[in-house]
Amino acid sequence: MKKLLAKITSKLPWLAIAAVFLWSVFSIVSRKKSEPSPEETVIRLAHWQLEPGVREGFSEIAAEYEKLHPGVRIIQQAIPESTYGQWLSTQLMGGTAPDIVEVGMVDYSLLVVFYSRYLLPLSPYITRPNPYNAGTEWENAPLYRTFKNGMIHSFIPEVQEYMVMPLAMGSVRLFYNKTLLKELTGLDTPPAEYRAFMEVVRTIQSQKMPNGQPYQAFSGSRYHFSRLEDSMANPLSYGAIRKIDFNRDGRFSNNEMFLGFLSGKIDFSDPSYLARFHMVEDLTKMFQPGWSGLSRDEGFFSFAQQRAVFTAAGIYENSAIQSQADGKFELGIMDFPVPTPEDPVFGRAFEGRRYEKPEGNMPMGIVRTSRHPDVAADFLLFLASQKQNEKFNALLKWIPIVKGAKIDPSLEVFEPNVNGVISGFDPNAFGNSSVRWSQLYSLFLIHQIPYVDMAREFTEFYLHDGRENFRKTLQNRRRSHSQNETLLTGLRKTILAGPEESATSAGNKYRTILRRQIADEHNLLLQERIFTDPESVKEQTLHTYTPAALENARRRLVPAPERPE
Amino acid sequence: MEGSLQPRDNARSPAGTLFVLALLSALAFCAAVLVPRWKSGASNEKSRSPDELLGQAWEAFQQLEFEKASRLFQAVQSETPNDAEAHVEAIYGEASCANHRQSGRDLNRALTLYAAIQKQHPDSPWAAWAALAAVRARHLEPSETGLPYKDLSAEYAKVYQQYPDTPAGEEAFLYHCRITASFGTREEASELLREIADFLSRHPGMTYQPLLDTVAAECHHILGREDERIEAMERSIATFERDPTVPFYELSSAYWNIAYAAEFEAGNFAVARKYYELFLKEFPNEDRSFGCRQALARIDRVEKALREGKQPEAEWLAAPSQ
Repeated sequence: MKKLLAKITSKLPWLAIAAVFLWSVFSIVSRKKSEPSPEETVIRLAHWQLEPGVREGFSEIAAEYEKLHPGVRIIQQAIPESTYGQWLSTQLMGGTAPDIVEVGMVDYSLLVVFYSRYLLPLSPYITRPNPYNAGTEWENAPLYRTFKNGMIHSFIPEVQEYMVMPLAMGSVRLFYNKTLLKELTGLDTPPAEYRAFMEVVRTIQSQKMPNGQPYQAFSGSRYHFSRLEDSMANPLSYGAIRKIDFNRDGRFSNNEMFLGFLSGKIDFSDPSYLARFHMVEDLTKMFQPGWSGLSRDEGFFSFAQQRAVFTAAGIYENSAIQSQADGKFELGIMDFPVPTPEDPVFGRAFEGRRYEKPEGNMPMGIVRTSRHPDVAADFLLFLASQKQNEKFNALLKWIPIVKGAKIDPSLEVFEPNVNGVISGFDPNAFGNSSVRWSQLYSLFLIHQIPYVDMAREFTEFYLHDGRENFRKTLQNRRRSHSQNETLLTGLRKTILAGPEESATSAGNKYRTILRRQIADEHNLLLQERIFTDPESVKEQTLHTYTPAALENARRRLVPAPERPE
Repeated sequence: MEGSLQPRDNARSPAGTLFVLALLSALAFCAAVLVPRWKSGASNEKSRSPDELLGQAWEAFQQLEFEKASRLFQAVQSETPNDAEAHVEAIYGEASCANHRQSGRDLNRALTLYAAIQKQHPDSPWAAWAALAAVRARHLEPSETGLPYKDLSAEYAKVYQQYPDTPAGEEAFLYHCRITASFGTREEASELLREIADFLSRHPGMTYQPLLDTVAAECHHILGREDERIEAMERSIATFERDPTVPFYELSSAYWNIAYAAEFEAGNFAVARKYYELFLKEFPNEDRSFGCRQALARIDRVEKALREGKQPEAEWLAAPSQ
């Protein structure tokens, strides 16, 4: 026996080598078997969505498409988010990118280069009906009209083309552990009003787990905080826009905020900013100590382990959270709580919930090196048809982007709120101002520096160093004019010599860019006045009736309808 | 042992021989494969017509491949007679490459070529574009000391005077108007209104009339003529036609601007209401739709106050919930 064992032991390395060899032969054979045959048209698709359901969603729709188009094979590659940008860049530059790629995870400036050099414009498809919508209400509608957002975010102004096709929509909401909420507070659903909600938070935090540690109301990390900040605190700053909207376009820009500070029209004592930061203080006080150093996953553990009742998450995390909760606790989803107009601290500043841009998620583009661009486009059209988009998103548990595609009732809470307010605060403007802000704000978030000190220190820096940085920023804006000028030069040729249809379209694009150049020239000239004529900037009245306007309005008053006797 | 220390210059080792052979093979490979390809590439360029080459050059330009575009533009120049339109276009193309390339921009070269087109081919349509491009290049040149806007405005006006009936001349006029209106005094605004009226009478149905109407509206505002301003703003959108291939070619900002001016500066609430409502109807998902709803409610409040003989105060008028 001993001899036999010794014999076997002596042969062990050979056996191991043989096993590895056999395994590799098996792997190669099985891989070869799954490889497409030369007769097949292969479309490769890459994305970074590793969330549960996405790969299955693509596989299912691909199988459906392959059934409809024998001889076509769709192969997907899911690349981790952390390396996707690098991977995409090397694949595109090396000419080895898959036919369809999810576009993103790189700086916007680099994306613009990708759009110009490596991706095919989808513009030719957007005015034609989607053939896969036959038999639906969108049968004859041009493709762009079938999208909830009109595909407006697929249009890239820098190249004046539609470059991507989004496949889903999403938003961020509050997830809560219904079971734990009931146990700790006796409530089935959390209050939607801010003060009542914060009372629930205090009730939760006052109770202890079996190990003696207090329960957490929220899973805390910098990532989770920024979700709360965006949805609850930032909307309170909306009122500031009316004081600093120097170009009167009804929108906010960080340049306007800087001009507002420099001209003395606004500062950190503005009621809307005070309210915003007051709420930030409220929110950060309910996180556990050390929250700001935690990563997203570390922060989420407390929710998954039922130590925290609430967590803020995007729709793309929905499936993962559902699977964590499965069999352990009941999950609820709600919109963020808001104060009432009567709230003593936030009432004056609160004008509405935050606005959520109905942007599309999963923007897919077709690479120029694709051997079958028409088939790739056809597959995207298939994914963007009413029926398939509904099916695809049902598998992902995301919101369909195509109009009329039914949404799972449990996901209605994620529908973006398009009747809301935008933020009027963004000090991340230019140069070192952003760095200084980040340093001071980080200290404020962990209560190491009071608001007044943070405001004073940042304002000094912002106005002193920011001034020169702002001048440089304006100079850089001229560079974007140069890039537009390059586009205009290229379009001129198409207008002069292109076929009639493309010449007309190029003509419209040309005029759009020119209008933008001229409008932005106007903005630049206005903003440069802070250096050439600062008094005129200070004297501007914004979102305020002039005495003459009120007089005109009075003169124009139509007599009020007389009451019947 | 001794032998091994001797120099080996005459006796090459087998590895060395193999290395030399490999190197020679690689060179032979290059000669056999790459040279014919390069030659065929060069002859391809030669076998293509200047028009085809021009098309490819512009395509490369649009894809920001300036090196390739520049080479193709030069190839066109070498294959066409000096007075051919394609030749002039190729010079303009080469100048555009020198002007617009992001790395290795050669502005002097670009300006020299632009000047050469204007001097040697004054009747070519590219001469006007070259004149405009030269001013644009100076306008967009990064400057530490601030731009000489008055000079630039005069230069644009000069391009228009030189080439009044060309698209480039018309475009130059737009830039001239833009700068003058932004810096204008009351006198300059009056003068600019006259220039615009003169321009529009010379170019009826001009494509950029909406832009000029917008500038004219600013001039009226400078002169305190708010009703004329609103009329000019409304004229600027009267002929608008939406093109779905250019989604940002739309009217949301124009509606907002007219409504804002009508509400706060002209006191024409009927017009303000009309455009806030149009905005909500056509752009319900836009980020300013909330502001439009607030504005409509605000106008109601102001009207009510005015009817009651009260003097509404600006501060509380802007706030929504009071």
